[in-house]
Amino acid sequence: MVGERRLTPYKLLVYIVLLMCCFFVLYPLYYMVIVSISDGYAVSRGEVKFYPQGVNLEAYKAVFRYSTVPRSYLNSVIYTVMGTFISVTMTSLCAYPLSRKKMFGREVLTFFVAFTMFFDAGLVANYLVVRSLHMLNTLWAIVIPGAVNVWYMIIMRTFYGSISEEMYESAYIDGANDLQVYHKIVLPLSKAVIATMILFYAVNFWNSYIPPLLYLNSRTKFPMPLLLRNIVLGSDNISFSSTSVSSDLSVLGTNIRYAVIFITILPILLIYPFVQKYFVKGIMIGSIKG
Amino acid sequence: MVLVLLVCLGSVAFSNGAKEERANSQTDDNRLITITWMRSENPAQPLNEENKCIEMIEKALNVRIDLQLVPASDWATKKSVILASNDMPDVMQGLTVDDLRKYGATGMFVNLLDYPDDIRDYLNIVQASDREEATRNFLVDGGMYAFQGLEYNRIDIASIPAIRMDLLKESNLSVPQSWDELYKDLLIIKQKHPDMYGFSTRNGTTYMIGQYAFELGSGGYPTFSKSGMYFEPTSKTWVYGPTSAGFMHVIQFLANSYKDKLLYPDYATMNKSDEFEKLSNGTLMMVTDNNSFVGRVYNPNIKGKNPDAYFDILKPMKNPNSTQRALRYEHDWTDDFVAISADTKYPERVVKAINWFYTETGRMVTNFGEEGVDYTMDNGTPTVNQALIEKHANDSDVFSGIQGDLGVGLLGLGLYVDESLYAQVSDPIMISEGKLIRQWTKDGLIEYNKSLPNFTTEEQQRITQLQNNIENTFMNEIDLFITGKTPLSKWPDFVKELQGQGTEELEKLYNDAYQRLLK
Repeated sequence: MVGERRLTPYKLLVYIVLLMCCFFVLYPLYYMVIVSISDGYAVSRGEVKFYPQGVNLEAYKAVFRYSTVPRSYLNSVIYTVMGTFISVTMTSLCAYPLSRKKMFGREVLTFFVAFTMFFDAGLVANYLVVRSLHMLNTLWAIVIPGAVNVWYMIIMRTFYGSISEEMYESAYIDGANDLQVYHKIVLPLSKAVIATMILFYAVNFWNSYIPPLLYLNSRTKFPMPLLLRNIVLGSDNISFSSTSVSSDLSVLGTNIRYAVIFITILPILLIYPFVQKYFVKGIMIGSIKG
Repeated sequence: MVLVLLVCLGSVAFSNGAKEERANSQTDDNRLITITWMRSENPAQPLNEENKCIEMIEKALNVRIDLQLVPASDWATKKSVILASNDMPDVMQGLTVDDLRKYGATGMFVNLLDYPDDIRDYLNIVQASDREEATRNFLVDGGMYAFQGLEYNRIDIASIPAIRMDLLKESNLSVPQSWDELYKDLLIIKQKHPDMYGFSTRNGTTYMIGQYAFELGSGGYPTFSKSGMYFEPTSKTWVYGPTSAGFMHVIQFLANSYKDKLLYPDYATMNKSDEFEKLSNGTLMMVTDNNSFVGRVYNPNIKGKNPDAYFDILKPMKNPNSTQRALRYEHDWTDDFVAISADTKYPERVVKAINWFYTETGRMVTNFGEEGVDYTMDNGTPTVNQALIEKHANDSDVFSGIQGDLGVGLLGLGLYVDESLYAQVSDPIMISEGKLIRQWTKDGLIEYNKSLPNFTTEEQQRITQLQNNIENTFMNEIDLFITGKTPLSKWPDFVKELQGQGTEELEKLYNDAYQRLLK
C-alpha cells in the first residue's frame, strides 16, 4: 500500500498535466470574476491578471440598474422550465414508439424525423411558420419550434431500445397496454436518460438567443442571453458609416460586461456539478449503443 | 422537426391571416391610433418601452407608439428576416442606404413623395442646399422611401490623431505641425522610452490605412469601409487610393514606422480592447481614432497611473503634399433611415407624425422631453432639470441615462438630433474638442466622408466582382510591404498588379454613377 502512494515521476507528470488542465479550464472563469469585481480603470489598463484590483461591486450595481435584468432573468427561468418540460415530454413520446421494432411504418417515420436533422429550412421560413401560427411574441414561439431535438430523440430511442424485450412481454402478459408499459415500465427505468435530457434541454433553452431574437418583439419578454449579447457585443459587430458620441459603447466598461456574463452563467455553473454524472451517462448511451 | 410538422398548419393559417385589414386604410380623422415602431436598442442607452417621449407624442399627435426594441448586437439579423419575410411593423428605424436600395423599389415602403404636403417640414430641411445632393443620392428610382436621421446640433466627432501631450512636454517638443515633425517627435520619445510604441490600430490593416491615408494626402478605406475607393475632394472624383500616386507616402510612413518600432508589432491582430489597454497603460504614444475616446477612455484611465499624462487631439497636420486635411464621418446618419410599411393601416397619419419630429416642437420633444418638467430654456439653450441629472448620476454615462429614461435622442426616438445636452453633463474636453473639429471643418481642414453613389444593379454586380478580386490581392500583400518582407521598391509592380485586377474600371463605374447624381 505504501508503495502505491509513492510519487513516481510518471505520477508527477500526470498531476502536472491535470493541474494545467484545471488551470486552463478554471482560469477564464476566475478571471471573469476578478475583472467583474475590480476597479474599471485598472481593468482598462490591463492591470488585473491574477487577483482583483480595487475590489468593488459597482459593475454588479450597474448591471442591476438595467431595469430589464431581473425580468429577463425570470423570463429565462420560465422559458427553461417550460421548454425543458415540453421538450423532454415530446422527445420521450416520440422516442418510445420509434424504439419499438414492431411499430408499423417505423422506418419511414424515422427517415422523416432524421431528415430534419440534416436539412433546415432557414430563418425566414421558420419565421413565416411561427408567424402564421400566431405564436409571435409569445412563450410558445420559444418553447414549441425547438421542442424535439432529433439527436436527443435518437439517444432516448436507443436507450428505450436497450430495455430487455422480456420486460415488455411480461407487462403485456399481465394485461398492460402500450401506454401503461410506457408509463409503468419504461419511464421508471429511464431516469438516467431523462435526467440527461433535462440537462441537455435546460442548457439549450438557457443559452438560446436566435428564437427569442426573431420571435419576440417586446423587451419585457426577452431572456438573459439577448440582454447578455447586447451588453457584451453591443453594436461592435455593426460597421458604422457614421458614428456619434451617443452611440459610443466605450461608456460600458469591461467589468460591467464580465459581470453580466457571470450573472448569466451562474445557474448553469451551479447545476452542472450535480447532474454531471447523468451528463456523462447520456453521452455514453449515444456513443456506445447508438 | 416540430416546425416541419407545423408547416402544413401554418400555410393554411397564413393564407387566411395577416393582410385582411387593409380596406380601412385611410383615417383622416384625428382619433387615437397605435402604430408599431421597431428600432435597435444600444446597450449604452437602455430604453423604456413606456417613456416620456412616447407620452408627449401621443399627447401632441394622438398617435400611440408601440415600441419594439431589438438588441443592437443582432439588429442586422432581425432586420434581414423581417424585411425578407415582408413582415414589417408600421415603422422601422435603423435602415441603411443599402436596405433602401434593395427593398425600396419592391413596394414594401411608403413613398414619401406621394405625400408632399404632409412632409413639408422634412423636405424643407433635406432639400436645402447643404443636403440636397445627399438627399438625391438616397432616392430609389425617383422615390423617397424613408426619412433620414439628421443632425441639428451634433457634438462634432472625427477620427483624428491624438498624442500624449505630457510626453511632448517632457522632451521639450512643440505640438507637431506636419507629419514629418510628428514622426521625428515620436522617434525622440521612443529614444527616451524604448518600451513604448508610437501607435497601433483596433480593427486590422485596412482600418489603419483608412485612419492615415487621407490625412497623408491619399485615401482609401475611409471610416469603416472595406474598399480602397474614396472621394477625392481636390479632383471631385472617386479614386482607388492604393493605386494613386500619393499612396506611396502612406505605405512609406507605415513601413518606416514598423521598421523604427513605432508601429506596434502585433498591429494586424490587435482588437479594440487590446488597443484601449495599450493606450490606457502608457504603451502607445498616439492614436488616430474617434476623439470621443480621449475624454472617455484614455485620459481617465491613464491618469490613474500617471496624473500628468493626457492625450489631446492634433489639428490636421501638413502632409507631404503640403496640404492639411482629415476625414470625419458622414454628415447626418446614413444608417438610421426610418421607413414606413406600405401595409400600414394609417399611411397618412404616420407620414404626418414623423414629419412632426422635424418641426421645432417635435425636435424639442424628441431630444429633451417636456419643457418645464425635464428641461427649461435659458437664453435659447435647453437646460436639463437638475433632479434628472442627479437621478442618473451613478449611471455608466449620465447623458445616456437621461436620454434612455426619456426615450429621446439619437438612440431613442430623435430623428432631428440635438446633442447639446452633452455640454451640461459631459466631460468638458469632449465639448472643447467638438468645437475645434467644427471649426476645422468650417476652415476646410476636415472633410465629411461621402456616401457611395447609387449604382444600377448591373454596376453593383460588376463592382462586387471587381472589388472582391482587388481587395483579395491587396490584403494578401499589404502587410508584407508594411513589415518590410517585401521591399518598397516593388510597390510600383504591386500597383500594376492591382490595376490589372480592374481598379480603373472600378473608378469609372463609381464616377459614372456619381456624374448621374450631379445631373
